[in-house]
Parts: sequence; C-alpha cells; structure tokens
Amino acid sequence: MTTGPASKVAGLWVVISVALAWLPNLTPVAWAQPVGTITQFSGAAELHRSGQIQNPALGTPVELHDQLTTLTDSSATVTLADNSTLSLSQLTTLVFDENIVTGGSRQKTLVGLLRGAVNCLITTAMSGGNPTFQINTPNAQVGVRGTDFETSYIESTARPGYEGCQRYTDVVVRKGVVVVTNLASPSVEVDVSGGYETTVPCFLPPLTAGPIGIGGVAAPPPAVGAPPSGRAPVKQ
Amino acid sequence: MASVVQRAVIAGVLLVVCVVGPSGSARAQWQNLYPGFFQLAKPEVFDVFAFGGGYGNPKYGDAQEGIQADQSVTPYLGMVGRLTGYQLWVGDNYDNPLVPGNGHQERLNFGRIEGGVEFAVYPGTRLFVLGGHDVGDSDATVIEGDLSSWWMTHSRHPINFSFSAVHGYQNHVTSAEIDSRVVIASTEDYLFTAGVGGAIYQGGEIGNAQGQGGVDLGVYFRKWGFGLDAQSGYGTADGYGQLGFIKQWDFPE
Repeated sequence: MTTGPASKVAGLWVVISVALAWLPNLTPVAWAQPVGTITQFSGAAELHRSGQIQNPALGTPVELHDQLTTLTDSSATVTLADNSTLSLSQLTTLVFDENIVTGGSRQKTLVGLLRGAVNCLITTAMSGGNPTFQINTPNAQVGVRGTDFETSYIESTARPGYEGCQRYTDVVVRKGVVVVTNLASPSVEVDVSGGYETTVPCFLPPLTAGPIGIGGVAAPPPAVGAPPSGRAPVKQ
Repeated sequence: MASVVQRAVIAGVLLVVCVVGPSGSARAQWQNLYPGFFQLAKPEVFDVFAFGGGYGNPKYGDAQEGIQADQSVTPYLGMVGRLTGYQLWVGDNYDNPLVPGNGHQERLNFGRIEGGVEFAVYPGTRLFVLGGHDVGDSDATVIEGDLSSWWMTHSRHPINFSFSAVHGYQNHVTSAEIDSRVVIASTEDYLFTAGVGGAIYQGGEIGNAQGQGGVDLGVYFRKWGFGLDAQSGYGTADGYGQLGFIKQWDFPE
C-alpha cells in the first residue's frame, strides 16, 4: 500500500471529484438565490422548485430557477429587488432562468415564458448601456429597453392568414422600446415603441409594429352625418 | 323586401357551398383564412358600446344616442342588438323629411330598434348586417349594413375604411356615411386619426344623389375605451359639422 505524496494527491482528487459530482445536486439548496417576492396573488398557482411543487401565497419568495404557474382564473405578481413587477395572467408559466445582481443593482434578469401572458413594469431597463431584462418564449426573444410592456405566448391555436402556424408570441409595449426577434432568425430585429405591438408567428420574423388594438374591436364611432331619416328636408 | 330575402337566402346557400363543398386546396385555403370556423369563440366576449353625436347644417340638425350589445358566438360570428334615439330639428319652411308632403314640423323624435349579426370577415374587418323598425315620429322598417376595415395594420399608419348604409322602407331612401381615416400617431394612452368622410343619399323622392364631404379628425383614449370623432365640410345642405363619440366595455366570459 502506497502512502507517498502521489497517493495523497490522488486521494485529494477523488474527494474533489466526488464533491464536484455532488455539487449540482446541492446547488439549488445551498445557493438558492432570491429573485423576488410574490406581492399580489389571487386564485391558485404552483411553484416548481427543486423538483417539488409548492402552493405559493402572498409573500412567498421566488428563487432562481423557480417555475411559477398560475391556474384558471388566477393571477400573481412577482416584485423583483429593484421594484420591477412581473404580473402573470391566468394559465401562465414563467421560469426565472438567470438573475445577475452586482453591488445591489440588477445587471441581467432572464425569464422564460412557456405559455400565457405576463405584464412587465421594469424600473431599470438599462445598465451601463446594456439591457438588463429579457424574456424568452419558445419562439421569440424580447429584449427590453422600455419599462411597461406585455408579452404573451400561445400555442395550439390557429390564426387567419398564417397557414399551418399554431404558436405566436405577442408583444404589446406601452412605454419605452422593446426589441423583438425570432429565436429562429435572431438577426431580424423589430423595435416596438410605446403605443405599438407586434407578433412573432412560428419561425417567421416579427411583424412590423402596428398601433395597439388596431384590428380588434375598437372601431370608429357609428356614423352620424347621414340624415337619420335617410333624406334631408326639402324646402316647402 | 322579397328580393332582399331572396338575396340573403342565396348568400346563405353560397356560404354553405363554400364551406362544405370544396375539397383539397380550396378547403385548405378556407382553413387558412378561417381556422376553427365552426368552433365556439374562446373566450366568448360580451361587448357593450354607448355612442352618440350631433350634426348640424343650415337646413337641419340632429342628435343621436344609443347603446349596442355584441355577443360573440364563434370567432367569426356574433349577435348584435342596437337601440338608438334620434332628435331631428328641421329648419323653418322645410318639409318633414320622414314623411315627405306632411308639412313643416320643427322637431321630430324617434327611436330605432335593430338586431342582426356581426361577421369578422378578416382580422380588422367587421361587417354588421342589421334590420329593424323605427318607433315614434318615424314608422320605417330599416335595413342597415355597417363595415369597418383596417388595412396595413402592421405599419406605423394603418388605414381604416368604413361605411354605414341604411335603407328606409318608408321613404325608400338609402343613405350612407363613408369615411376613410389613417392613424397619424399612437401612444400609450391615445390613438389619433385623420381622414376624409361624408355622406351620400339617394332614392325615393330624391332624384339625383345628394351628399356632403369634409375632413375628419379622431382621437381614441385607450384607458377609457373612449373615442371622439369630429368632421366638418360642405355639401348639398351647405356647410356642416358633426361630432360623434363611442365608449366601449368588454366583458370576457
């Protein structure tokens, strides 16, 4: 049996290897990083954390890699450390993929929207000229230069005019500017400014931004100009 | 009236033939244009609109106010009910326009009760087909078609074309308001439009078509779901001005 320096080094390597092998399992617990807190909640939701499902409530902390899902007729708002808010509509799943904080200020937050709609009110959209907040959906990347916008992702739903396409990311911007790309063609960027919206259908580039609500139910007022009788009075 | 019914029946038959009959590429094209045509709207939406306005020229003036309820059935079809009240002021020495030959009457009041269907012909394009009857100083049966269509919706300046055509079976006059507007600016809170518009009417005792036209300015307040539209111009009845508003409430079910 050898007991020289070589065997000690080999033994050390075994210990380090075993420790490194276990590290991923320990990471979520030992290095749980708080991202924010649930500050508004109604209905029912599921919080997936480290392979376990919890029932969140008002005040529940949200940590890195958590997956928050709202159920039918439910909503939840997560307030981040810089008071930015992410409001989840019903049947929405959001994953907190990345959160880099330096010196108390957020450098980058990346969330994944797997389904549903999330309304974002971002207080610190830029840091040192770089965007600090980004949302990825299964087919789109939404880079935030603005402060108030809504992103929604739906699938298994067809829309007129998009043959065969059944998944869409819609981005509605109320304030600031949001840069939208399709993950399949990230070189094509569409800037969406406040008051405008865009859609990313399947693998197609984002549509050119158009005013919010156009094509919806908002229509010009009913006509009043034509005589209600259909006939103007004539002189007797 | 019979011809109108016949045309409606023919249109219905053609629609059924279009949906059921074609096969292959035609059916695929139909599916592309109207996916889920026969499925119920999800979520269903109940909309309520309040609207009103006023109009004036040297010969007459009118005010109207009303309420409209829309209930979606499928993504492309809805049911509509509309109640409108009209007050009509007729200038001195001008005849009763509702019942020509009845002499001058300074003020006429009547209500219009209408019901019908709404078609979402394409995203941004809606067609209302309504029928109804007047009560009060007017006793006309009316049929109405309203269309609002947005073009270039994915651009900075979408264009809207709309018309509202009404035919009255009492004086056999058809009148139509026709407007075209372009979005000049969109912000978080407002949508501004500008364009041209006017009205045209013909039939009954009106030999040649008469009408008017002018410029149109509008603003829509997003947060309140409230739109305001003003128009001014010149026509058969000399200069005119009009103001209209609409307030919308959505109730997803």
